[in-house]
Amino acid sequence: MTPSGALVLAAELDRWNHLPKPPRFKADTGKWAPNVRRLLGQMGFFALLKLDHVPDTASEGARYVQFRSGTVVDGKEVEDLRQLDLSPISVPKAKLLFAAVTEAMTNVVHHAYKDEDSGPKNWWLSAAHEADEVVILIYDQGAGIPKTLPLTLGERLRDLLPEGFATHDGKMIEVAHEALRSGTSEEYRGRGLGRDVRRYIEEHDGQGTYRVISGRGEYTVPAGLGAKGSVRSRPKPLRGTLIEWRLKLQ
Amino acid sequence: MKGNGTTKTIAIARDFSKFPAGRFREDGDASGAAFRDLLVEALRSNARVEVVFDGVAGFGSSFLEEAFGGLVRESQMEKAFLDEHLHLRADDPDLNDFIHLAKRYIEEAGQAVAG
Repeated sequence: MTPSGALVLAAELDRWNHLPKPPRFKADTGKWAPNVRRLLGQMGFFALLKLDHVPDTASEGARYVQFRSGTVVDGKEVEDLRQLDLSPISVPKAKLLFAAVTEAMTNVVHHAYKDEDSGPKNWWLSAAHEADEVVILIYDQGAGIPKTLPLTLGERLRDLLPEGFATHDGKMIEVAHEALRSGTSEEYRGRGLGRDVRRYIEEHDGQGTYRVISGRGEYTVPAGLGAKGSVRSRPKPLRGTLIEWRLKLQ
Repeated sequence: MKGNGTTKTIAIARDFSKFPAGRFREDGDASGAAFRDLLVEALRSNARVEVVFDGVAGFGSSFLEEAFGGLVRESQMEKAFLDEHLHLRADDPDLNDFIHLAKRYIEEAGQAVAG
């Protein structure tokens, strides 16, 4: 299990807890694979879900920021990503990271959920430092970028075609970064994904990737200014949107 | 010196938040709209207003656009007035890009209002 998978799993079970009649989650954690149980424990899975759990020995050399969640844009939570659990590691270009994550959070609050959505309208945030790599993650369970981005006439026409010809979710995620197009008609809004969220990896001097998974689409951009992104379709859709900044520390 | 001859200094980290984020008031306690209220109050006194960016964790573009572009778009302040009365500065070079962006949002909002 990866930290991204752990965050998506934790968010889904956290959502259950917010349902009017939450299903009872029972887990015989003693039968879980030790590495999975250790990762989830270190990322705060059992604490988030208020489950009793005997802590495993921490993974040597790996550190995790405990899952955190909220419904408003909270810069203090973002600052905690680098000042608490990852200290004394200096995450490069911390001010750009703060801009990237708070802007991703703002996108969740403004665009991810529809008014009529029931259940929590949360973001979930975490970060991990394993070996020489740091990954920072934010996830929401909203409608997804491909469904919230207004379609052009051409894209609407393509959507009438059978699956396979229809608008590619990955392409829609890319478009959301390239164009001043968002779920709002106000021209001064909708620039955050390209200007801030992706920019953190674009300005990273070493190796790294920026990845967004939303619906059936995936959009990946390697580190470095001018690096070209790529899109692909995923066989199974993801509920909501996962954004992942991954960088090698030098 | 422009304005009424006095200078008011707003240090964002000291007078507002070290963690400014979000656009609208309902986004959170440290939003661009909430910070704009501080700017408007100071600017309406006709003082020269110096905004110090140092000590802040960073800025998302939604915050900067709403705080600074919003002076023109929402608070109906003229760009020429802001050019004379509003001064943005930072000693930390990592914050210079954010200052340029804030100025750009004032410029863009001025162009949008001018049509």
